[in-house]
Amino acid sequence: MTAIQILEKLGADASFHPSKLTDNDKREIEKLSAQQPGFHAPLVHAPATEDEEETEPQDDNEEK
Amino acid sequence: MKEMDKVGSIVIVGTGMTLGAHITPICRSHIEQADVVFCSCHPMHVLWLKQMNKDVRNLQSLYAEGKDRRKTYQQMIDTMMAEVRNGKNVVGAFYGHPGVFAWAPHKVIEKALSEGYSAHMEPGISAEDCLYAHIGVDPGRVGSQHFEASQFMFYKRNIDVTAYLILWQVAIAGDRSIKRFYTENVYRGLLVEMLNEYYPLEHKVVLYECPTLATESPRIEWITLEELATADVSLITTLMIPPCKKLQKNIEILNKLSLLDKIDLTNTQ
Repeated sequence: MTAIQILEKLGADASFHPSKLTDNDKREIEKLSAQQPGFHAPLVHAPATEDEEETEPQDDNEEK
Repeated sequence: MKEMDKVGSIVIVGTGMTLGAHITPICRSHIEQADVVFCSCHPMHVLWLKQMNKDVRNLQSLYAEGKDRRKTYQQMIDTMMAEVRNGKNVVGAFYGHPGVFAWAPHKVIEKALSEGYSAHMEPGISAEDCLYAHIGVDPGRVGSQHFEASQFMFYKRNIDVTAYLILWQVAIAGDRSIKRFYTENVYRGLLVEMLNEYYPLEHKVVLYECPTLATESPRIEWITLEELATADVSLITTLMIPPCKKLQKNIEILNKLSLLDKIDLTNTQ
């Protein structure tokens, strides 16, 4: 199994415990993880103008 | 051609927080069957997605320090929509729940629908879901309130100190530029000052981070509110503040309910 397949199995298979990993498995996972670039969470930071639009009170009379 | 007959579609899916553990069968199926998968996920998740689909394109390259994130989000939308307009069945895969604290996923669906394409979102397991499980908190016990930390600072909000308060993205608390990935301790110091209007400085709060890999453990670090300003936080750190006061009974309503309980309402419906 590749390192990613091992990680997937660790996440998805309740009977596959990290204690079952061989030293080679651990090395491969650490090596792969160390090679990866940084990660930017897809943050929300709605523009203030949009916030204001969303919170403007609705005038029901205009709809009718 | 009628608008609804347009070829091309987009489904936004969540990969969950922990690789392999949280993805739903329907999200996985959409990823596997897509013509192209755009993703904004942890790099290890990206490698995982590449095992499910041969055309996985990473949107993370659109982020840059000093670049207005609104521009990044708009580019994400434009990038995904270009392939939808090319008639492709597109999937946008975002880590956690794709519709929680993520602007672009909602907007791209709005855009696609407005242009007559099929578009919808499938939920994923979010950091919030994991927080309840890992810390052992039931949000239904006394209620919970959630705010994005910067928005919490920018606007006057009403806090209920008898319920849990959960603040997201505390690492960029107070950032008005929308260009930064970290704000200094003094910004969180101001947040502490705001929170101190409601909670004592010695009140215990918890910093939480959900593991990305099953080999990792969640971060559950209890500190005092005062220590928040100098605490080590990252973009995935969430702050949970337990209640500092007990629920107060609404005697007036309870008395009215008692009166209602004594009335025979059988024939009033």
